[in-house]
Amino acid sequence: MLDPFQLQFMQRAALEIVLLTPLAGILGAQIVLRHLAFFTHGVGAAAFPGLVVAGPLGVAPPLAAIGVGLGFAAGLERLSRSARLAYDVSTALLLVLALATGVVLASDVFGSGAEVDQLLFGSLLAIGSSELVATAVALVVVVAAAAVFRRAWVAGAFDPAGSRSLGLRIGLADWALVAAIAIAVVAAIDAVGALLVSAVLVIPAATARLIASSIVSLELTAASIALAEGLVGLWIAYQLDTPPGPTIATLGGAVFAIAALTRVAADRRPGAERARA
Amino acid sequence: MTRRVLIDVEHLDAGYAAGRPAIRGLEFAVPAGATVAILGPNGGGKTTLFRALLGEIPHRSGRVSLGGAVAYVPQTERSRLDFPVSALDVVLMGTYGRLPWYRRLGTDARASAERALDRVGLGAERGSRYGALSGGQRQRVLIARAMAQDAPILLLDEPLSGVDRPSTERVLAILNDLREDGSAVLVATHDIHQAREFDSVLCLNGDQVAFGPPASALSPAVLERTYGGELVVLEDGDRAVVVQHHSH
Repeated sequence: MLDPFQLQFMQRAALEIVLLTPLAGILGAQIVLRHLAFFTHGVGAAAFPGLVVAGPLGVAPPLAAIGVGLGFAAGLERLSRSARLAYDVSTALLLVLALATGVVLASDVFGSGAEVDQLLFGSLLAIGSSELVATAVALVVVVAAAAVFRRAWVAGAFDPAGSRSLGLRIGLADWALVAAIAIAVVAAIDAVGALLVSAVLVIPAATARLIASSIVSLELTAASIALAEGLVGLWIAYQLDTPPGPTIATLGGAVFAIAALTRVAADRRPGAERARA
Repeated sequence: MTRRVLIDVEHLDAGYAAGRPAIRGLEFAVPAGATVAILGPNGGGKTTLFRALLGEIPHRSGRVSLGGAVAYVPQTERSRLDFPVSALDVVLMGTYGRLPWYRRLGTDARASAERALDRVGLGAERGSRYGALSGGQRQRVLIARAMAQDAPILLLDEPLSGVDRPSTERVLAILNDLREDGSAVLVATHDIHQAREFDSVLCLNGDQVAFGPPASALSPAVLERTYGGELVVLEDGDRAVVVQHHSH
């Protein structure tokens, strides 16, 4: 059953998943608690045109993607304030703009030679050493950011108004979180693609949110689910000869549905409300 | 003996937009061990004053001198009830600012948080989920978080709104304890009757209308100037009720 993992490309893919797992726990928890899922999806879409133009412009693809992702976050903040648009409307607007721009740039008009399918849906089975190193660097950066800012992330999300008097640098922490998400998104693009980064950074944490009773358990459960879904999804993709990124995303959606239905059934049991309180 | 002044505000204008300060001409001082009720209509500048004291909005003119750190207790509905945190987790947040990022929350922080919870009468609820507590209990948890900050100045934004009578009495008793500890406690409120229990009252309607002991600051003339067109009903000559025109 584990024979496929004897193959080197499967081992590299599995290692990529293992490296992404802590990001799914640490950042996934914050994304779900702060309602940043759509934003995260938007950063993934925004990174896409950055990756398309990186090669022709001679810029390192991760740097280009992070730059565009951060630009997306800054533009979103600016658009929401100045145009008085709701945050989700601004996100949708910029997301569509970025995605469409990426597709246009990747066409023959620009002649970038970028593989649109790979950028949008990932290429987990083609992960090389450079991608593994990039993901490891992203992991170190995100873990360091979490070590410094996690308390501010938690307090700021729980109570934005009251947290400012707690002696924490909430504004700086918020920007550090946005940067960390952009870095994690770029790291995940190699595995699952710009359109499916939520499969790693959102869906496992959303599933964990249904059962976790504390923030630490939310982080640990999200990471565990991401690891299990990633490895099982990879194995299924190998067995069925399906693309790994979409397979992992589909598996994640199915696991979430089962967990949600189980939670609904549990909530309907007599005495469930009292037990939770 | 003269008590140390913890809050000294002189000729303060503050607001978000230059040229149009939301609060104007504020001038008052609060010593250690004093409670101040801040009265005013919605939009009268109570929260703006707190944000100015916290340094979150620019002072357009005037001066604010603070004799120590400031802890802020927001209205409970501004905190997240769906958050997977216990009452103790929330109070522990009050110790975050004292710890460098590289140090774990130790037994000192935990003991400080537990003491604060005990003082607000919620020691038995330390493991309860914050969102599952009653409105009054949540308010006391947020006050305990402010107490865990060890700040000598506390700002409470309408802590008695939507709170049942037993919880109101608990909160007022806690404020009295804080006063006896030597804290300066400022409380934004709509309740004129409760404001009489405080050492001083600041009436605010964009401009400072009055500041002083309740007996002088809560006169019908001051209240009428403070609340403008909003209805003020005087009962038996010593009670006043303001009927707010809520926009929500």
